[in-house]
Amino acid sequence: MDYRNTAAVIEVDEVPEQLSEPMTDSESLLLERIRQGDEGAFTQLVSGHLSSVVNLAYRMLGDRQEAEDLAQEAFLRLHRSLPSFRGDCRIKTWLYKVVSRLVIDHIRREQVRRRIFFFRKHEDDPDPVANFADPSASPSDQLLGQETRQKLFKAMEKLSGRQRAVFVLRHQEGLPLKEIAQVLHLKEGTVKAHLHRAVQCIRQEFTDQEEVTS
Amino acid sequence: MKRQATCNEKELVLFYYGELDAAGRQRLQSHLADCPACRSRLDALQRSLDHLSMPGVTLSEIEKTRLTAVITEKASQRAKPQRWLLGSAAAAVATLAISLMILPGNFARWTGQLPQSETEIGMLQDMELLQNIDLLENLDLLQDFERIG
Ligand SMILES: [Zn+2]
Repeated sequence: MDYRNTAAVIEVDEVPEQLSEPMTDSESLLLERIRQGDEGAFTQLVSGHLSSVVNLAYRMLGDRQEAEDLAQEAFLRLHRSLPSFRGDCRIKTWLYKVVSRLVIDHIRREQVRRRIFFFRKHEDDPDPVANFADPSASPSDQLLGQETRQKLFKAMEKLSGRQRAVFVLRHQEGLPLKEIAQVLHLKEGTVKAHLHRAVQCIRQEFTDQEEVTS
Repeated sequence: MKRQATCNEKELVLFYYGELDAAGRQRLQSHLADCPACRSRLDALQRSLDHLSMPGVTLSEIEKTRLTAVITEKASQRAKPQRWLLGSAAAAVATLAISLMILPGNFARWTGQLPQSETEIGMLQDMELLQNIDLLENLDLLQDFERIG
């Protein structure tokens, strides 16, 4: 049987509207306190999610400072949209959405900017990949090894924001592709294509000698 | 190793991540039984992805406290104006209009001459694109965020 024709890979299904689990009672309570002007409650929300938000952005961007700035913006947007926040997804899912969209937006602008200033690039300009050699990396990164990190981020550099977001959300955060489709507001078939492209790119970086393309 | 007409790299990736439905899984498994090429590709995929952990950052308690304080402070400053983004979008429209008018002049001042080569003209177009992207995506994000909640 030629299952290439019947494969579920190139789906054109509708973007799923409601998939993620709804907010827990304690989350609703926390949001209610914030809506009533309880600053402590907002502080609690931020400190509870700060590390994961910064890390999510860092993994997509490879730059700690940018990741922190973007995390800030994500929390501010959450705060600002609280009045209209319906609470039909977990806070974490909401933050995934905002961070991913901010990152995608940021990368798209950076890529255009780089195209504009490409001609000015000089041999003694810092290598963008070198920026990824972040001295403030976590202890687990020391295990990862400098070379691996550089290769990984070099591969990420070649990907679009959406492709990076899909890979980080699936590979690192373990989010099912259906949910990623919802988070990024993409069709599931598109998400699958992005994941495949990201995996190809990363494997190419790691195994030059191996045949990795299809 | 020879590949067959039914070999599908994309499905291997989905299989690896447990993203094939029952029928797809079964199809792939019977294909794998017959196809050494795909078996070896799946094996390679596992070797490269199994232990691949994305690098991360660790925030110290001090950094966490500082950053949380900054965010809380900014949030309380921005608390009132719900219309803030709309306002800034309107401002962006105005800025865009103005900067598009003066852009070629600016560019000429940077380089000391009028853009001549294709590269330079292309860059000017990029510049406009960039500004348009900034504007459109702010609007786009604004709509998104209103939907998300
Ligand atoms: Zn095969």
